[in-house]
Amino acid sequence: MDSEIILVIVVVTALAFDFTNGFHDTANVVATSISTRAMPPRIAVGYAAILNFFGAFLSLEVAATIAGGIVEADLITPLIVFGGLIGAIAWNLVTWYFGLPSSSSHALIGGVVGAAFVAAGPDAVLGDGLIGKVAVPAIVAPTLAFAVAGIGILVIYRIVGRQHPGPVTRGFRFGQIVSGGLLALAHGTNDAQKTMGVITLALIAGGELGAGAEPPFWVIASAATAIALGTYMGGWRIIKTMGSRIIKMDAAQGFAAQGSGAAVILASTHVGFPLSTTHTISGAVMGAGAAKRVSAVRWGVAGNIVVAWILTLPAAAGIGALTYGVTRIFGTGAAGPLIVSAVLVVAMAVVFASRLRQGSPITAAEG
Amino acid sequence: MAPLAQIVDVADLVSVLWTSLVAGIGVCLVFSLAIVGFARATDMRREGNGVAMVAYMTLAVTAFVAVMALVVFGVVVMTSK
Repeated sequence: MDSEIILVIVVVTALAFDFTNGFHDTANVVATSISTRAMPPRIAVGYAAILNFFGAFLSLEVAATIAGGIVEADLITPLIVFGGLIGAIAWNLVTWYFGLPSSSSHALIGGVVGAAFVAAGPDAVLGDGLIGKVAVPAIVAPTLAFAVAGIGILVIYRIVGRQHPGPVTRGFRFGQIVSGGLLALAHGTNDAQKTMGVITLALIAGGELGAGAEPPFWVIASAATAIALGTYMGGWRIIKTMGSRIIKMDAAQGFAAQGSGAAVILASTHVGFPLSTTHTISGAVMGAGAAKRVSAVRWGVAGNIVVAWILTLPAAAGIGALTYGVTRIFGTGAAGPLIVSAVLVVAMAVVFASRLRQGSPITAAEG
Repeated sequence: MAPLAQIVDVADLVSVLWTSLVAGIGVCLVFSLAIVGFARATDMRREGNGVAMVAYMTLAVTAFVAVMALVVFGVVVMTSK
């Protein structure tokens, strides 16, 4: 009975993570479009939500393990997965609270690493995997996107520089709608699959599915729905940071950031060297700003974002480790996860209520 | 711990670097040409210069089709990975 309750808690927590993932990463897709008025805010998040939903159905090649190659797969238990998910959800909420874009994938990896470290000791964590799959991509993604978007905007200004601003702005706004759609589809495909992988793994570990089983349709549909709902909710504070606090951008810069970001993400997917959407788009926004004028980038805000990226893995690992430790105080049964989940729900309600009191979503005029 | 060159697939990394540069800058270049083509074609039509209008419109449509082809390729990449 306990194992069934734990399984249900892990599934619900995985869907909650999926929701925060969509909610946290909405900015990657819509921030520049809202900022340059390519789309009104509510239309933009609705568009992103729909394409995230369909993106989740595009490819079903689910990763066999979460944090594969980073944590010893044989040692992963439902309680470790639960600790990892709580670590990722908590870090997503912390960074959202401060309006900082950070990688949900790295948060999930960090959470699982922390929980596995406490559960099975340092041998459970594969250092090579951490460097090759987390640290190196975290440096490559923003640097590459910065360079590509920077050169891209210089090319654009060179070509359209002497044209009337009206048709040029309208053209790049249209381009942003197309590139944003592509990003939303890619996000739904990549990120909803992480949740499908977590739930499928838990179902296999719980004996509900056979080893190597494909995710059932209800898993695919629920993961797609959770990420789409999260996207529609919109992480408005991060949208504001990404859309107007790093640089004040024009439509051409918005297109250069989104178009270059989409190209980098899809090129890395094509080659099989996956990069974080958040790191890529943030780097592209900074590159599109800096190439026009270095002082156009608010480097203080950019620095805060980089600090959040550096802290993501250790902070999520710390929370994941703490969560695992607390659940084990109550043994290996369902009591620990139930208590931690209840505490998390209350904490989330308090944080959301606090933030909702402090500010309303962005209006078109703000954007 | 293994050396960095063994941990990271250098060939993949180099592929990502050049593919991203070509694709990203290519998208910006081609889409800009499409915008210039449409804008100049409109100007030429207003000025009654039919030959130039057709030339600019051809440039615009060709560039726009190329961008759309890249978008379709992007979706294919997503579905086939």
